[in-house]
Amino acid sequence: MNAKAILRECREGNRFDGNLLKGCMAMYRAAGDGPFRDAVLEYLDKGVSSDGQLPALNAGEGLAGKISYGTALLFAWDETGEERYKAAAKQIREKYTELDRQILPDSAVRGTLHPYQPFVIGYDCRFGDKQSHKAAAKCFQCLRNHTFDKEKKLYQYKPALNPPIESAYDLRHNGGIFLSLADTIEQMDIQLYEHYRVLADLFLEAVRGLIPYRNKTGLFARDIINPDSEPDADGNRMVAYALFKGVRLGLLDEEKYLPMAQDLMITANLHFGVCVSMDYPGQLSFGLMAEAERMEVEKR
Amino acid sequence: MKLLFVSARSCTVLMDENSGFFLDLSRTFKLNGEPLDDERSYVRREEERNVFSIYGLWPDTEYTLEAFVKDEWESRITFRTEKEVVSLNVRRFGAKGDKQHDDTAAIQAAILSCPPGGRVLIPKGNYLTGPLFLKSHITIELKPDAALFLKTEREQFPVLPGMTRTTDEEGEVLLGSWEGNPLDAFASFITGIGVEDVKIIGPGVLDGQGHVGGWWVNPKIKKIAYRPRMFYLKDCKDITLQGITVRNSPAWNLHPTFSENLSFLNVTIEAPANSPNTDGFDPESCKHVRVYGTVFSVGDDCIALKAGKIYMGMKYHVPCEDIEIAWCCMLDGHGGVTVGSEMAGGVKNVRVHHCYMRGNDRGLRIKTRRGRGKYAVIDGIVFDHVRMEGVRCPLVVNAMYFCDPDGRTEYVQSREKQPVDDTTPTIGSIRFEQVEAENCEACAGYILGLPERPVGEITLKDCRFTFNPDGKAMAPAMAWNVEECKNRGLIAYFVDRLTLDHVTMEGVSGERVKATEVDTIIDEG
Repeated sequence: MNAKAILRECREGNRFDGNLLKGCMAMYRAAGDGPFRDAVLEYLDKGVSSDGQLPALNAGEGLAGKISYGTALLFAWDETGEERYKAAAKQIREKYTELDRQILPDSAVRGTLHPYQPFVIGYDCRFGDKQSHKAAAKCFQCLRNHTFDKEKKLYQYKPALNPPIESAYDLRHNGGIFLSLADTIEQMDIQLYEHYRVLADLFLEAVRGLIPYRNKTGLFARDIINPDSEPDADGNRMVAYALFKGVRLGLLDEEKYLPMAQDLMITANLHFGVCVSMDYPGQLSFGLMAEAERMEVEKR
Repeated sequence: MKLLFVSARSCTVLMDENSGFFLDLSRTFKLNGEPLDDERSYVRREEERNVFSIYGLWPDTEYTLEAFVKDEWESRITFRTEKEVVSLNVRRFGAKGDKQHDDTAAIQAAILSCPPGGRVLIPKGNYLTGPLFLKSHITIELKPDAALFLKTEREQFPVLPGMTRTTDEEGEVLLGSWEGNPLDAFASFITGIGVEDVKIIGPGVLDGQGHVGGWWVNPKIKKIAYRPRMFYLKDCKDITLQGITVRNSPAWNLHPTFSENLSFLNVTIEAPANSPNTDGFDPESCKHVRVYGTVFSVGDDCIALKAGKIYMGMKYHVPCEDIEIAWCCMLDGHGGVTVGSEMAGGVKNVRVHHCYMRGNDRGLRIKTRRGRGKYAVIDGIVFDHVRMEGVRCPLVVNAMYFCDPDGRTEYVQSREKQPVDDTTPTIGSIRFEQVEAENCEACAGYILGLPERPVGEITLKDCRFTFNPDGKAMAPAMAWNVEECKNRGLIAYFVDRLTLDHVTMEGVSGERVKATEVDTIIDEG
């Protein structure tokens, strides 16, 4: 797969870019494949000036993409040690803090903060005082308190927060939470165990809640509670990614969950095909991410 | 004279319960009418210690030990050694003892093969081994000139997983532990999980080779797993260590957790003064622990009583309690006896008496912080008949200790009153009685409570402090905005009740008590 070609097609700063960057970073980590690393750094070069400014920070389609972009900046800092990446990441962190202050009082919408937690924790573990661990734990607990259906054991996509969609039990929404949890846990300082453990328990609860909804083909439907409805390519790969990562991080029992993840991945690839095109950025990025995690966990 | 412990092959004796670590009067002894030679009483070769051990005894045999002062008979005890089923020599299991061959399997085989009531004998030699796991109802004896050396290749060490979920995923099993959290850690040199009735007797040596194995380089960074300790217990009971020397630990030395009825007698614990985190003895959430006649010279706290961080405290709330530390000697190290900083399950009923401390940064050191939790209660800590020489600050209580990755945050360090909640720790009563501290340097005592939950009660009775005019200034507590001081008296912030009863301070600089936000002060001279 030509990573550079894929990333060249990306627009700067949208959420698809962010996921593709994540996929490339994950592939680099899993396979040590230089072109993926180079592709990420080359992509960032387009947006980060030599003094660490991010001209596009206030443009584009919102903060979500910038946050994924921020995760890539942390990667670039780790790889190169260049100060401009740190400075650029700081700008995003400060932007996040601003956002956090604005919407914190409204606990009902705090759930929208969860996609940002991997970056926030990653940033604070490198450059901050790690106070964000407590806030991250609180954020995910809040999300759970307000949106987790204890009977169905699924996260609900609250129609009040967004235009109504077909189902409140959306696979991509649940998959997004899986991703956020797993990616955040990966960034945490495990010595702040009490916060780490909150997320680890929520992750396990979410996984255990979802598993029974697999349909007879071995996939999950977009509308989770109607297993025989149309399965979803993005969502299934998000789940596969989270399962592989959960096993790798020791959050899930390898004997139980690794075969499940492998089966889900194979079934998804058979059912949807392996995506290599930007025409389907979700499938592409989540496919990359899941594949990278599969490689990482299986190479141990 | 009092018998403290007897096994099939050894015993430990207390000469005078009212003396300190050293005896005031020199004595000679006879065992069954024969002079007690150095070979038998290995410890007594060096100095007149109050607590000493005798080795080389025969099982199921009656002995009479008599003490003499200047050839005058003084006292006698009679005791019978325990029975012994069998003695298994590790050499017969293939151990070479040449410090070249890996003797792990041979010694482990001897331990696992030993029937209840048996002895595993480690004779003279230098044995290179990896971590060894204990088995219940056995005795392991390291003879004089027997030394076990811990291997240095961490890749060859087993790892104890911190937390493993139960098969139904509803519970957890905790094995590894690191600084108060259930984290993956290398198995320790001697590891006991769920064992009982084990004696490890000396006078041989356990050498952790911390200086060789790279364990002291970048020590805070986890490489594969967290560092091993020399001796680690989890869920054990009735365990005794007698007379062994433990040195050069990769990290903490003795670390029993969630265990009870533990005795540490005449143990010697040594690590270079600059070795990182080489605490001497750190019982964590243990009860009924006695430490007698033990010598510490380490790179961190000599003794640190612990009870986990907040996850462990809130989930299990098992305190460290009923601890007696007596006739011990603490040399160097950051603290003589420390409580915390991991103490989320609470630390209660601790008595430290007839001990000798020299050259430590602090004598009694209590350290906690916001975020330890509602079960984090320190109460009933008593120091009595303790002698200190050159201990820079004899008493430090610090409720804002800047430990942990988030310890240097406003939440932990703020001097402003914070809401009292489930994360707020409590410090109850601390008592110093008949403590004599000579040549202090920083101050006699430094107390820093929390504004929202002051320290309950600090009592100093019949204590004497003198100061070293040539001493160096030092910040007595590790917290924000604690300034260096020299030859100061008692400095206290946020305390409910502070009592000084017959306390003298000779050579103190400035006022003898400087109190801020202290509710009641009683100073009776």
